[in-house]
Amino acid sequence: MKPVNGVGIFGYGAYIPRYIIENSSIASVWGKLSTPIKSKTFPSYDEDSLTIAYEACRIALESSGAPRDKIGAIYIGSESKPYAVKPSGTVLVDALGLSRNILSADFEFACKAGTEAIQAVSGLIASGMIEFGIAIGTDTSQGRPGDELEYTAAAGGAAFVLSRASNGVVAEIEASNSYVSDTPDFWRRSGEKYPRHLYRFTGEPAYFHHIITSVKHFFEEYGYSPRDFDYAIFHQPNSKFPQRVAKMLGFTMDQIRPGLLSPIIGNTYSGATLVGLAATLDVSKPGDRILLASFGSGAGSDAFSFVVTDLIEERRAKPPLKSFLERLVTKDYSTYVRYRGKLWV
Amino acid sequence: MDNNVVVVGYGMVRVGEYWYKDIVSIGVEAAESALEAAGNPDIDAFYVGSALSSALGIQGNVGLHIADEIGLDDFIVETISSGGVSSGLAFINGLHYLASRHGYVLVGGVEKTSDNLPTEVSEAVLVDLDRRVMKYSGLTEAGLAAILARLYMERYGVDRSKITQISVLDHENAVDNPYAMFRKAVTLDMALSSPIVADPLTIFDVSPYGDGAAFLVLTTKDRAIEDGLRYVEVAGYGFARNRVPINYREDILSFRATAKAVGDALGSAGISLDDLDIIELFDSYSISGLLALEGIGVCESGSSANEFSRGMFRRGMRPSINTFGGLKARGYPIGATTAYQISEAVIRLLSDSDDYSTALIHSMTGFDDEALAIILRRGGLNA
Repeated sequence: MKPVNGVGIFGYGAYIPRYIIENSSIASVWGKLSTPIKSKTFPSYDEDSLTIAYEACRIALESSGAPRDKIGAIYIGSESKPYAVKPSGTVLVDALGLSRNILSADFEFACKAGTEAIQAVSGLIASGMIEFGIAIGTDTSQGRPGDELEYTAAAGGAAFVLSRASNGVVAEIEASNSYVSDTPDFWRRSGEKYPRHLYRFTGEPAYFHHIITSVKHFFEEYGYSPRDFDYAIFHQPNSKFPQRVAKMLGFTMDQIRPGLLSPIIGNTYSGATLVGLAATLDVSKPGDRILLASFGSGAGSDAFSFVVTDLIEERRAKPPLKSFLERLVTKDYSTYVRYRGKLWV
Repeated sequence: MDNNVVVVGYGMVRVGEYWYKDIVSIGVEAAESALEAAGNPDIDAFYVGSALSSALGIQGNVGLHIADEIGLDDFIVETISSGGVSSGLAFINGLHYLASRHGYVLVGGVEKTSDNLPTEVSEAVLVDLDRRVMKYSGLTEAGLAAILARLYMERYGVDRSKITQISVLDHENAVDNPYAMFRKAVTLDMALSSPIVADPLTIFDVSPYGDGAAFLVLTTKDRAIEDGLRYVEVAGYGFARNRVPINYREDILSFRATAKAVGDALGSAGISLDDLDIIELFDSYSISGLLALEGIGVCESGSSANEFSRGMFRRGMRPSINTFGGLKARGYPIGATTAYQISEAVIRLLSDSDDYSTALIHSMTGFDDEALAIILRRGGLNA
């Protein structure tokens, strides 16, 4: 999908909760000897996917000076909405002081709802229906106590104010595509508190098949190769998968390093690739080309190519993602259990 | 046993996780490649081992479904579910068929564990092994292996690190095996520092379940010569069983079924242990491989771990053990395992470059619950 009229990122922002728990703390409680990452973030008792989205949007709007009254759509991608029924987007419209003449919807596609929101907003802009729009990926994801997911399910999010390229953007969206199939590797039924997954089935037939197919189609359709990109961000459910998929596709560690945050912050689900994109934009230079490939269980992958412009220097997110990593505070399992509401039955 | 029955073809799929194929498809793939290797003869009987396909609710009577896909009509089909020796018993059924009739027989096994949750597979294996004592006592298969390992270390004063050397050898031997699940060499340090499954055993002491299918084509020696096929002779076999509930055994470190089965196999082949060039050993756990080797009589009780640590049993030595990676590295497609072991020995005995002429295939269900031994011998038309 290549926009006929230029569309890009006008401003961006990310937010990571302050608290982390080390995998070793979880492992010591559950008697596990090997763990997938070092640590993961978790929200405080007064945070949820909406407060994270709000902070990310605020940073994106304030850092870029985007006109709040001209935002024509706000799409929020998450699989941890505070309410099962009641839109999250409307809360953000009023909390951020956006115009109430706005399209608002909540997206869900496991971990790739945020990149889907970017595709939807960029379509509205490219068609001329709106001038500015916000796409968000945010989650406070759930892991059943003792389950494999508890080691990685983390919290965080990022927001992107998109606009016509002619308004001046920090990164233009060259193209994107999507590949989906009915692959039930991970799910949470209505009314269930914690998701379920199919162990190793979440690897090769789900994560790797979808990302690799999506990116290869993308390369074939638009004539790219890994060498054309300065940076790449892949969905990061743990430390190993994004590094392995990068290698399989022909990318180097140097290309993925700035956007690879999962070893420290965990899997922020809908936020994962978008937080990685924010971290990459924080360090990129004008002219850099960035590949992003998300993955959502169930399953699908969206691939994008962004080209950074001269405006990046003046509109980088303030604060940058790095500052969130510098303020992390380690908590123990008991505190984590209390803040995450795991004691309530 | 007169050397009447011969193996004239084999076919395997790589042991692994076939997310996009069902149990019948992988069975058909291996069966067709075995038939092709034997010049696509008309089949008179088809025996298929599969330990769990019914228990896991994947496909009952799986042999019939594979036969249907292969598309050959009017031959006997039988599916055998008998734990780790399922495909070995399919092989024995083939021998029995050819003892009274002529023609070609297709034997082997198929298993698929990736369609179920790991917990479901473990449960099915446990129920298959022994529901009365094991399941209700809370003991698991890995837990029992750990108990055996601890007792072994304590009784014979064996250092823990020596238990795992057999797995390191398996990995070394699988590097060039195109059908192996894991084709990566590992060091003893890596194996010992990997996650613990049941203390003191780590994941490198435990063979990985995998999807797999392996088949062999059998016929009579006269027929093979008549049809100009290269063959490996079936020189003998033996079968025995131990008490299944582990608490009924006099000594749980004594694999007496293995000893009896191998003794009978050697006797029927008219050879002794010293004549063996290859042993394909059923090492579903490192410790069960060690105890089996001691049961076979290659090593004194309590000494096999030390022998592996001394660097014995590598390829080219006599005997060479698990020349294609054993259960640990080739993989453990439960009911199809024996057919892989036999196929691997057949490859060695047909090879012009390998200097092997006699092989023992040792297979088990559980920990010596039942044991099967088959002797193969390099046959004719090899030049």
